[in-house]
Amino acid sequence: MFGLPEALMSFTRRQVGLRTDAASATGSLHAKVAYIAEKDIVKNGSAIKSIQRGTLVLSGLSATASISEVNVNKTMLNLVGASSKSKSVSGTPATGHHFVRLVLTSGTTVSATREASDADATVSYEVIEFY
Amino acid sequence: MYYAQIDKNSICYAVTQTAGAIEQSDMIEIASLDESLLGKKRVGDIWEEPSE
Repeated sequence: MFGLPEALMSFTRRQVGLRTDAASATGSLHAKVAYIAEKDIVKNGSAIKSIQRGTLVLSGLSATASISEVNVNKTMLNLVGASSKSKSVSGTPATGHHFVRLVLTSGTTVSATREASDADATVSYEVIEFY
Repeated sequence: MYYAQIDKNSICYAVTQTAGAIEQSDMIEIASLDESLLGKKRVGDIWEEPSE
């Protein structure tokens, strides 16, 4: 006959499991720890997989820059800033060339576009990919 | 890795710090994210100031 202490001990052993338990999100405590430890975020100590940075010069209405391949579903693109010299067109200040949009058009391409190209614009960006 | 990207006239219009290697004819490996290369022309293995 097993008493309450034995039942509690058995329950605890089942919950804790063994170090040799295979990784599992639904298994013993050992299995769950192994499952978490295998996650890239834990293994690498960061949720960030890679950061790429660049600067490109727009002389026309659009330009593209190549980057090493990222998963677009897990990647954010930041416009760090854009600069351009002032320009007048027929005596009127032109400003459209300052305003640049960035799009991650594929896993290997950052595209920059604008509505006017009266003067060159220099654009800096960051591409941050997560696990 | 760092690259300078050139247009059809061999003028550098982008510099990029990448997470991995890129093998493209218009991507030239450089030592750092050197923005001073923007606008310069690649002639052989040398960066030249663009002619006016």
